[in-house]
Order: sequence, then C-alpha cells, then structure tokens
Amino acid sequence: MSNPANTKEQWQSWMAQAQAGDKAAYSQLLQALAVWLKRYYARRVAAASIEDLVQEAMIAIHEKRHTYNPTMPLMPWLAAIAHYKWVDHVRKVTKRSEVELLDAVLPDLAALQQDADAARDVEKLLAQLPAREAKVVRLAKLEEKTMEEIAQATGHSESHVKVMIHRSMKKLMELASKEDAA
Amino acid sequence: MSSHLIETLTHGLTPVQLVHVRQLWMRAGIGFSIAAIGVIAALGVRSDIDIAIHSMFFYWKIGLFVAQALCVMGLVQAFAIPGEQVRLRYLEAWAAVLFALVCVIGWFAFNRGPEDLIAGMTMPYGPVCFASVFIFGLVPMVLLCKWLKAAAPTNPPLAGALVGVVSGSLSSAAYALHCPMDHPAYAIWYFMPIALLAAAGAVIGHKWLRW
Repeated sequence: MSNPANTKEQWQSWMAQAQAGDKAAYSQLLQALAVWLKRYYARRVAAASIEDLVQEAMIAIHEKRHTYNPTMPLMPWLAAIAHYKWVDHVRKVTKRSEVELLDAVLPDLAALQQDADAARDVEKLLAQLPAREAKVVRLAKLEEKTMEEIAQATGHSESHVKVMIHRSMKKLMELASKEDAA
Repeated sequence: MSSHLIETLTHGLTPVQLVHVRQLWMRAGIGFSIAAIGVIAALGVRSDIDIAIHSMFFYWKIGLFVAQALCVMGLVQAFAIPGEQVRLRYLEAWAAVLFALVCVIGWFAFNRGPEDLIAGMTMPYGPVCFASVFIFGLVPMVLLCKWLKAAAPTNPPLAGALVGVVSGSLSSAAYALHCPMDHPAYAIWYFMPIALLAAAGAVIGHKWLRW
C-alpha cells in the first residue's frame, strides 16, 4: 500500500515537472487527480454531476497551473481549486433550479391567454411590472419569441434578456401568490 | 471521458511562467509611482510644502494610506493564490491603522470640540479631492486587476474589492503630496473614493475575474 505522504510528495514533484513542460509527469498527475477529484466530489454533489465537475476542475487546474508555487505543498492549492469549482457549480445549479422551478410553478401564460378571464388576470399582473419587463415577458411567454428576436426587439443583449425574464417571472410569481392570498 | 481530456490537456504542453506574489507588489509600487508623478505633473505639489514638511500631519496623512495599502496588499495576496492562508496579522494591522485614525479624530474632537470636526470635514475642495483620488486610483487598479486576472482568486469579488482599497489608498498617499488639507476629519474625502474603488473592484471581480 502506498504511503499517502509519499503520494502527495510525488504529485508535487509531478506538478513541478509539468510546469517545466514534462508531458509524462503531467499525464500521471492528471490521472491521479481524476481519481482524487472523483472521490472529492462524490461526497458533495449528485452522482450525475461528478464527471462534469471533475473535468471542469481538471481544466481549471490546467489553466491555473502557473499559480502553483512548487516550493509549497500541493494539496492546499488543489483543494482550494476543487472547492472553488464546487462552489461555482452549486451556484449555477441553484440558479438553474430556480428558473426551472419558476417555469414549473407558473402556469403557461400563453395557454392562460386563451381563456378570457385568465387573460384579464395575466394582463393585470403584467400591468404591475415595469413597462420594459412586461414587454420582455409578453414577447417571451405570450408571443413565444426566441431570445435572439427579443434581444433585437428590445435592444438588450441576450443574457440581459434572460436575466430580465428570470426576474420578471419571479416578480409575477410573487404577485400571483399575493393575489391568491387576498 | 477523463482519459480523453487528459490527452487533450497533455498534448502540446509547454513550460509555464510562474505567477509570483512579488509581481503584485511591484505593480503596486509602479501604480503608486505613476499616480504620484501624475498628481505632481497635473496638479503640482502643495503650495505650502516648505511649512508642511515640518508638520507631523503631512507625514501622518501619507503614512496612514501607505500603511493601509500595505496591510490590504497582504490580504490581496492571500486571496489571489489558491491555498494561501489569510494571515490574521494583516487584518489586525489594518484594524490598528483604522483605530489610529479614529483615535486621532477622537483626540481632535475632545480637544477642539465637534464644531472643529465638522469644519474639518466641510473644508472646500472636498469634491475635487474625491474625484482626484478616484481618478488617480484607476492606474494601480488596472495594474493590480490585470495581475489578479493572471492569478487565480478563489473569491473574485472580495479580491477585487481589496484591490480597490489598495488602489484608493495608494492614490490617496500620492494625492496627499498635493492636498493642503491636513485635518484628520478631512480623511472622509479620501475614504469615500476608496470605498467607491472597492465597490468597483467587487463588480470587476464578479464579472471579469471569475475563472
């Protein structure tokens, strides 16, 4: 059985060699890191995300390998990068699930528009949003335009449009639940 | 999947130029020098410099901001490189610098009364000092942010905000060569642009320094 202390010294030495351009040492290090990262993320994320996260972390290690000081222990450096990528992943997943949740919880606005009473309710809710947000929601959810088309129509970037839709839907959900409670 | 990625990453591997913390300190030094030359060239040295150099407040003002910049630099380097430990002594030193400022202001308030403090804060040229500190602070800010981009900050908004504090402090020290206002309460006109640069740094960190 290998001594973990020796293993870490070995990794440190491989990293120093990789920084000098040694492909063989780098390949050995990355293979060892893939196993270590899998174990690291297995305790932190859903099984389906482990492989993606391992790859993201390996790319980050590759891109930032020049920031490792070869006279210092390697593990704190590696652990900090693995942790940073994990936090980043959690942030992205939380954001994505919020959007999915909003889509699931909010009824399909276009379908509601078919019903005269519901259409009035939708318009009432939209009227409570700032004009530019209401316009973006109308284009996206009622007229079912693409992000590109909305970006062109409103003069905002696509990413800004996505953020606006996300925020507006959130506001609409809050407004709708207030009206339900009233 | 990983083996394919390993092949891709290993293929065409070349030696890398290591990022050193001393480059950060060098950039801060260059940023300060450019800001100081800019202040002297654009605004000139304070008109009462002959008298000011005999007053401890002249040195106190410059020293306060240089000390703050040095303390916060220690924190920046910890947040810029993965796995670096945040050394509490830098945080303690920074707190001591701010405490010293509070003590001096308190001493003034006690000995000269609150009216003197208000007068010190509302001296003319405040907005000019505010704008100058902010503008000259952009020079070290750009230099330090470029270094941070090459490094690997594990908390980009915080690293960016700290760089903003360093930049503002260096710019304040440089601007103190021109500014004849020595009242400690006048420091508010220096701390406001520092806070603005810190906020800008946090935004830059969030938008541009993520990796």
